[in-house]
Amino acid sequence: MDLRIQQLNAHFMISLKSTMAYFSDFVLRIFFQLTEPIIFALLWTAVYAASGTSTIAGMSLTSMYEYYFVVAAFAYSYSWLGWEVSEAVSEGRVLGYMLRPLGFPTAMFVESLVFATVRTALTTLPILALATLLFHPALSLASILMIMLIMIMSFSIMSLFWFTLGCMAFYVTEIGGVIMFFTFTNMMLGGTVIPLQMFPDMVQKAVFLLPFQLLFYVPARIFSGAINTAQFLGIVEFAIAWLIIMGMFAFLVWDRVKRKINVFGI
Amino acid sequence: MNDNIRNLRMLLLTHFYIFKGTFSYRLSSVFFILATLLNPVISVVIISSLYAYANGIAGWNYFQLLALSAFSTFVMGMALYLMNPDDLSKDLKRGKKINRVMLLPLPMWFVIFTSFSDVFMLGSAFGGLALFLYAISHTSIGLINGILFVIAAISGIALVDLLMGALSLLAFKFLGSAGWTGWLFQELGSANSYPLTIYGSLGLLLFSFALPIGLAIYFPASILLGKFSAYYSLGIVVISVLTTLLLYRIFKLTFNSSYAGGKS
Repeated sequence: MDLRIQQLNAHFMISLKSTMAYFSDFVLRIFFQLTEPIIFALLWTAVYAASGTSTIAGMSLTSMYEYYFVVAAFAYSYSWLGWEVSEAVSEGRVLGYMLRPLGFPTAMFVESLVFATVRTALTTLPILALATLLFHPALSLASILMIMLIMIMSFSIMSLFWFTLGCMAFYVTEIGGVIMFFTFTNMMLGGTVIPLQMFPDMVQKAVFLLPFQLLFYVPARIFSGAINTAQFLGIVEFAIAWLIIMGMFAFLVWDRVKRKINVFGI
Repeated sequence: MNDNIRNLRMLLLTHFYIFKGTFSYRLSSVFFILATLLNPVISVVIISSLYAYANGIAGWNYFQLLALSAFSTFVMGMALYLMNPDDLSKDLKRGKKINRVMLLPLPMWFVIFTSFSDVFMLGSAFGGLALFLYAISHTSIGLINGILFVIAAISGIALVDLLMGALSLLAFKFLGSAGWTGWLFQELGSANSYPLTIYGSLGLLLFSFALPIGLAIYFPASILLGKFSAYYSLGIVVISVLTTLLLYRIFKLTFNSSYAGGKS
């Protein structure tokens, strides 16, 4: 058990160094990504001014600002595991991972976790702290714990989703387009473009059956106090169901594709 | 004249082979195009949502704003198709492609528009164009405005590419990876999908002079939709063309003075 923790820790530290290798790029990327909520804030200001109402879809202009600001914060902790897995497969690095003590799926998960942890620590948390100062949400210890739990669950679900999708590279080699397509879809259905309750009724019904709402929309609504404990428990059950589904799917896919690994004809 | 025809032929042929090479991974290519086609879909979702609650935003009606947003998608899609700033920045550091292309007896514009092409962005460009044509079919357009718009649009696409190129040249001097240019232009494209007046005077000045993407998107679209008088529109077209030529000169001079062959 001790050895396993040491192995995980060592892999975590190596991944941390590699993530921070291009620090200036990392900082500039954060800066440009922060312009997105500012654009939406100014756009919605014009919409509220033109509509002449103070509330749209149950949200005031201030809560709209808060929503986009907080969603941008959560977008930094997004899992990029799909790219990592597909690149490792297409570049033939899988064997190297399989020879190491952690194995391919765990090593990939740890690397993705490091990337997300660094981004969460350096961007999500400071932006959320700033949002707390700016918008004064009614945050309690319980709501902070709720957000943390949802972030962990959504990260795990998405990691399993991306791992499964990344394994497609064993069959078709290049899957950059597939990953890009699903990234855009996740972002849109996760609530980065508009709050999900603004979608037409039919679309809303479908969107709320998918796990992508857990990425940005649900944490942002918990942050603003729009989700109570009873609703939260329902969301946790929903997340557990998706975790089981994605976990089973990832296990079955990995069990199948690992038989395709062929080294020196063996 | 003969040289220009030969260069143009070479340009078309090069793009044909870029296409062939890119589409060797068929499944991935189809999904890349589907992904870039989501850009105009997102525009429709956002603008339809906005107009469900308000009738005119910053003086623009639904189809006018849809046209502006779709035009932004088209211009950015075409500009990125012709040159991906991420690829240029990386290559300026590594010198893989640029070293090879610079040895050919070809003009600078040919090097820019053939070496760092991103074929998949054509999905976004054509999707944007289709949406743009749909949106303007619901508005009234004058002939003079249409002619001025076409000149401004062509000049605008070149302007965006040259601005991307000029900023990518910073990779010679700063930053280990310089992948930030792609992010910058993604945000500039988003910002210019809406009337610049919503950003106040500061935003208008920023996008007209400091990072003149407005000359490529907002102003041409405004000319087409009759937001400006004829003289004002003509003045904008002249400024746009002059800015494009100036950027070309800056890019050429900076590149020639900074490029040091296979040094990297």
